Amino acid sequence: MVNKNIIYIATVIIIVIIVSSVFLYMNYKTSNQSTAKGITITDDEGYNTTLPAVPQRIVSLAPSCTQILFAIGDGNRVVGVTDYDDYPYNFTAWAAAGNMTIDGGYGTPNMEAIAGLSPDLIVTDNINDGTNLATMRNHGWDVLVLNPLTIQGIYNDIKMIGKATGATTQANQVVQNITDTINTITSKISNAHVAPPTVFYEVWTPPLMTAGEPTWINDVISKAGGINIFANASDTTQYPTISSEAVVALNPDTIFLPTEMGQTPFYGSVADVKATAAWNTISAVENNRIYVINADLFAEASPRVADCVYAVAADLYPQLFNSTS
Amino acid sequence: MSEDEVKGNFSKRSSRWKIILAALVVALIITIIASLDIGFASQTPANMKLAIPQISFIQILYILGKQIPFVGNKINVSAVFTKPGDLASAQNIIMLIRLPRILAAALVGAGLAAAGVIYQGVFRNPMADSYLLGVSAGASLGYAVAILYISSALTIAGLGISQAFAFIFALLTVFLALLIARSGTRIPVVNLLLTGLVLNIFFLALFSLLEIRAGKALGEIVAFTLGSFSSIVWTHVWVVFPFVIVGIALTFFFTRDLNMFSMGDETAQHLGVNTERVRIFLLVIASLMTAAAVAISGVIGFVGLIIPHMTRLAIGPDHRILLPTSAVVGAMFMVICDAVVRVATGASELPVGVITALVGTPVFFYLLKRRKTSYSL
Repeated sequence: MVNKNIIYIATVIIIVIIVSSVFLYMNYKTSNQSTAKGITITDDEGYNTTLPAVPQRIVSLAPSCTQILFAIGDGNRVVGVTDYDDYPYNFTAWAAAGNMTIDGGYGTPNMEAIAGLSPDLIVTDNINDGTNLATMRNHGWDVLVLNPLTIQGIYNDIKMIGKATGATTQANQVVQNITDTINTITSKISNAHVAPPTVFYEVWTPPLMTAGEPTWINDVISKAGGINIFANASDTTQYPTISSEAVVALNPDTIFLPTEMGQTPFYGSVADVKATAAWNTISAVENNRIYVINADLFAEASPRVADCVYAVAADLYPQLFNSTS
Repeated sequence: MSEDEVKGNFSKRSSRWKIILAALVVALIITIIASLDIGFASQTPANMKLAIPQISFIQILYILGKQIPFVGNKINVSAVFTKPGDLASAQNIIMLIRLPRILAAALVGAGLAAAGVIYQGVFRNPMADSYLLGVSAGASLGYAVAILYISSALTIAGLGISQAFAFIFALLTVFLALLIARSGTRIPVVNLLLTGLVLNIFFLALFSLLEIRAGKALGEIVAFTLGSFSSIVWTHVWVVFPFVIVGIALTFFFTRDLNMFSMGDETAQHLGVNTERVRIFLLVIASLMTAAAVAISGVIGFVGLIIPHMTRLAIGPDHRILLPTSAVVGAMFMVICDAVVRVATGASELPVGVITALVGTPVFFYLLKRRKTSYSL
């Protein structure tokens, strides 16, 4: 009986040791792959990634990243996009035709789809949580995370991706074009010498949320010649929750409501905003200066940021930009 | 009945058990291999076509064969692929994603089910499950603490910092429960049951407090409490493997003691079981298995409660067969549930804890209804 037990225990231990060493070996094999020399990129989260070669199979996990990649001429190397991507092309139709792979939802990447794409670079914004990022990096994939807090941050990200994909010249050109467009808008506004209107940007309700100082949306508003009334609401929270009373007290000249095209707006409707208790005394409501803007533009820190600035400027200064709105 | 007849009956039963167990192990292996062909890349929705052809079963067998040491070199895996790019893709999908994931699911399922058998046996309580002593609440709290207050780039022994915290907090909770429930030199069962219950509630309250302050990390924390195998990498398999296998193997020596527990503490003592030490030893083993499982996959409910009951309904209450069969059935059940998760909702996956309950409940009710006599442990 005792002998039987010893044999039994010995067998179990031997099996465990053998299987464990096989796992160790496999792990050693995979972890050994990422020691090659190449260019090192530091992303917006401070993570250093060394790319052994110019990436040829790029997976995008955010619409803004897809737009940057296509803007700097890397579109033909993009092998996967999320099911939220709809710009600059109708990727859903591409996928149905078998010319593009949908690699998951925005913030819910499908690891299997990504593995099937054998990516040599993955680009995402900060929607993906630590677990997703750790999983992808544990699989041995190179991941760059974008998290721009200003328009300058968007420029830096475009240049960062350009550096990673070997498209530095194109990236600099794209940044130059955006800068030029925005400069034209700002100089037009500053030449007009008009008192800048104040802006309330309603991100969400309920609870009532706005964009604070550490967001590139705040930067867009100031570039478009507006003053974000909640710029100083919080130094650290990007989208602080605020009280309805504070909006009344700060009495904004204009209210901006982001809405996704063709979808139910976050805030209800313009009529709902006007009907909000005690808001009828707000200058923006009294003068009917409530503007609905395309949230796709404002939710994505993409090369379209100049369009963003233009859209806001056109609403703030209709006398200067009377072509639209 | 003469002594010979008793012995004869036993050996008849013992050989029947061996057949049942062997059949279940074969079924588990078939389930594992079959589930390798299930996943987003194989069952892609029409509007999300993957730019590689679907992986065939033959191709999977070739890829698996290639991994076998010595023999693998002789297998020409590229012969079954038309394009070299497809081979790389298929190899990535099978070896990097599906195989570690399926093995992790099997190990976690086995560990949770075996732990459930131990907890139910030790406490003589049908409500007992693998999370009875607060492993789930402790692990969730540890996970949330690490996510919210510690940089997540660190790894400890193959686990991410948040997973390592989940494991440590889970074990601390069990240790705390044993410490508080102690009365003199003994740990009365009722004390331990209540202590575990209260600690669960207490740690969940602390966890909820962190949830409210979580902000952007909320989704990640909530996902942990529902469990998922989508983030599994090979190192996780390697971490959980020794805990589950050694845990089940060691418990196997005490299945007779577990049988005697079911007659009550006093009877067990009269039959020569050192109830106090055996109980603590088994609880520690079960908690280690559960903590390791939870650390890599999150809190997957239902398996540690219902799989032991389902197996007991089908096979009887003798722990010598109940323990190994529950472990194998638990493994098989988890592999199937994870396969469902991989294809049920297209590109974005559901938490596996939802599926275990949805799939398991009707099966359990069917087994309960089919039984003519009343059911007890």
